[in-house]
This record gives sequence, C-alpha cells and structure tokens, in this order.
Amino acid sequence: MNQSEEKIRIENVSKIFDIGKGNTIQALVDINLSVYNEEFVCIVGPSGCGKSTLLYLIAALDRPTSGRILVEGELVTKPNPKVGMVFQPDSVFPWLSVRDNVAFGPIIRGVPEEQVRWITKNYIEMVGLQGFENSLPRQLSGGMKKRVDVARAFANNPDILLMDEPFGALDAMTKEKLQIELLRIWDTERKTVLFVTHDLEEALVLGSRIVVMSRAPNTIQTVLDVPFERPRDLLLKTSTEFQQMRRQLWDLLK
Amino acid sequence: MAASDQVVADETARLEIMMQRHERIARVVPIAVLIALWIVVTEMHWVPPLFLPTPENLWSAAQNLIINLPSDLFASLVRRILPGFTIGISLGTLLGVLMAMNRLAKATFEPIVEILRPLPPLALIPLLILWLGIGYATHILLIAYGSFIIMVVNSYEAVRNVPPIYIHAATTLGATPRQIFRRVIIPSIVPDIIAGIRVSAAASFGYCVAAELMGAMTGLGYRLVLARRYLLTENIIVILIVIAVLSFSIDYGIRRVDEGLTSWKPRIAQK
Repeated sequence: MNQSEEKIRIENVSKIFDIGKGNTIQALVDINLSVYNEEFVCIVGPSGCGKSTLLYLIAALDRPTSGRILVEGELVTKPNPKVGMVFQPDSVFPWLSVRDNVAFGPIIRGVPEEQVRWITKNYIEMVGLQGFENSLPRQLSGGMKKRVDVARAFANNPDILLMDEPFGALDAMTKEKLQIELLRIWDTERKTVLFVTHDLEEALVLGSRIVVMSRAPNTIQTVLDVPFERPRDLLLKTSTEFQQMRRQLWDLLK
Repeated sequence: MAASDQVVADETARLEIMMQRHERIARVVPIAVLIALWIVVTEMHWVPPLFLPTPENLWSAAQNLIINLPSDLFASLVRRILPGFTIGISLGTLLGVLMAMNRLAKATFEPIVEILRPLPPLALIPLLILWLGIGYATHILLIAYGSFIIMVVNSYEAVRNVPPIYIHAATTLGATPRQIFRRVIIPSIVPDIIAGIRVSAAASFGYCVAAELMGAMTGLGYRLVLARRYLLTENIIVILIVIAVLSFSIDYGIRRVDEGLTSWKPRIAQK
C-alpha cells in the first residue's frame, strides 16, 4: 500500500459538549489533520485539551458538532472494525479468559474457528502472555491486562489503531517495557496509529510525527516531525537530539 | 529471607492461628449459652411451657408434625413459592432489562412501576383475597408480585451499571447492538441479577407464609395458624425451625450457583 495514502482526514472538526443548565464546553475547536498510511502519530497536550475526544470522534463513539472526519476516504458515521481502539482505563472483559478476550473481535466478525484459534495463539504470543491463556483478568496485573488489551486490538486486524493513553495508568518500568514491545509489534505489523499521551518522552520514542494540542482554545498548536531512525530502542532517550526535541515540546506546552 | 524476617513471619502466622481459634469459639459460645439457658429455664419451670416449651415438648411436637411435613412442604414450596417465584423473577428481570435497553419501554412502564413500588406487597393481601378468594391463585400472585417488583428494579439498575468502557470496547471491535447485548450486557449483569434472585427467594418465603397465615388450608403458614389456635407453642417453634432451615438451604443453593457463574468477578476476600 502506498505510504502517502491518506488514512484519516479531519476537516474543520469542532465538538461542543452540553453540560446542562445552558453551559457548554468547547472540547475541540476547528481541528484539521491528515494521517497517512503506516504513520505513527502521537498527540500530546495538557489534560482537558480534547485529545481523547478526538479519538472518540474518529472511532465513531461520538459525533462532531461540526466538520467531518473521513477514514480511508469515507465519511465516519458508525463504528468500523477497521478502526481499533485501546483505552486508558482497563477495558478487558473481566468475565472472559485471556484467550476469549483476544478472540472477541474475530469471533463476532464470524472468522472460522480454526483461524480464530491460530490468530489468538499468535497475538497472545506476540504480547508475551503464553501460559496465561486460561487466566481470568482478575488474576492478572495491570501491565498484563494492558497486554491483553493491545493483543485484542491487534487480533481484530484493524488498519487504523487509536490508542488513548493506553499506558497512562501503569508504573514507569512497566510502561517502558510495553513501549518497547509496542515498537517491536509495530515494526513487524505496520498499522496507522494515532496515539494520545501526555508523556512527552513516550511521544518522542514512539511517534513519527507529534501533534501538539493546546488548551483553551482546544486546538492543534503545531505538528512536529520526529526524525529518529527506526527500529528504535529506549537508548534513544539518552541522545542529545532527543533531549533537545523534548525541550522544544516542553517549551511549546508551557 | 533474613532470620529477623522469619521471626516476624512466624509471629504473624501464630497470631493468625490464635485469631482463628478465637473466631471458632466466638461462633459457638452464644448459641451454646442460649440453648443452655433455654434448657435451664424450662426444665426448672421458671417459665410456663405455653411461653417456652421444654426440649422434650419440642421433640415430641417434631415427631407429630413430621407426618404432615411432606404435604405442608409440597403445598408451600412446590405449589406456591416455586410457581410464584419463577413467574415473578422471570417477568421482573425481562421488564427491568427491557426498560433499561429501550427508552420507549421505559417511558411506558416506569410510571406504573413507580406507583406500585412503594406499596408493601403484603398490603395487597385483602384485595387479592376479595378478587381471587383464598386459593392458590392469591398466594401465587402475591409471591410473584413481590419477586417481580424486586427484580424489575434490580435488573434495571444492573443494566444501567454496566461500565460504558466495555460497551465502547466491544463497539470498536465491531460488535453489533445485538452482539453487545448478548456478549457484554448479559454477562455483566449476571452477578447483580443473582443477588436480586437471592433477595427475591428470601422474600418469597415471607410472602408465602404471610399469605398462608391470612387464608389457606394447607402449607407451613397454615400449620402455624393451627398451632396458635390450639396454643401449641412447641409446634410453632418447630415450624419456624423448618422454615429457617429451608430458606437457608435455598439461599445456600443459589450462592453455590453464583460462585460457579461469577467466579470471574473480583471480590474482597472474606475470611
């Protein structure tokens, strides 16, 4: 597939939440953004800047107040399994085993049983959870549950993956580990990723481009290219260029 | 492990064993004291047998009552509670879930439910007797209605409490509303529904006995009325014990089913 193919196109999107008693919140103001095939775009910004709202709109879990969103050239009106999502809170189904969680997408889409078994095995191994197939989520740590979440999203084979601060609730060490694994998975299985985070280092390690959002007005302030070579590892964080870019982002968000 | 850690661990384990021993004693002592007190005050004739029978009285009453027990149990449990409870929880759960899933259904049924809910079901007994007489229909209807009201509210709240994040996750994985209902909402509400069924089961016993007290010719409640009429205190106590044991056994059964169905649910450990 062509790398310059436009996967997501966001045109003049605004979102206003009505919070009752005639009060409204301007969650997003006039957003314009294009994301291209196999890009890894990170969105950073202060809390309350609307970055999560933007993902919810792309996933069709909510509708923009004005403007339009196109995914692969088609207007987004209803949820589409080609657009997967990983949420910040734990969204692993607690009543299903690890295996059944990962198999959820393929099963509901009617993928033949034999293939579901193969897909499930593959993605459980990819996130390093072999041996835990029959475990229930309550028996897993926060980091392991996040792996189930990521495996479940990848197993559904989306073209586009929206990740809403997926590692935000994890401790620093677990977070770094999952970042490396995500880089590794993404290197073998390229998808178009839109990754929301408030962690500047995370954005620089993972992203090819970084969208910087501002608060009040909740809009895109600037977009930066991240020039670091791939495959990347965490040693990248110690390089001067990395630290310079981090400083640049920090200044932007100050 | 360092030696000092080992000492701390041993001490913790020792305290735990002691605590468990105390718990076992605490469980038994009050009951033992009450039974001893009962034996002493009745055997010494400090209270009249009409007020509190002796253990011998109780034993012979139990032997007399056991002849009627199968038919009483059949009347109360099989002919009244079972149909009433089954109808009540089925319709109640269906309506509660429907109201939570469908706005029009909610608008249609909510006013009726809200008007009926504050009415104690027992207050309906005179009206039901007037309408339907003192037959099984009255008893079954009362039990069904009592469980129905509990389950409507319970299952409605259960659906409303399904965390939206699970519905969002299923949606982004491509689930249709039907699939979300079957694969997300139903498994999520099972624990709450079972909790409601437990409450309904206990309440059904109460409504059954109440209905039988007010007007019936069979059943455990009817046996209680007879015993009171003939001043057979020992019979009353034996029947109360039977009701307690039955109600406990049914609750225990439901709890066992619950453990099997909802073992996935994280719970605070109970010692």
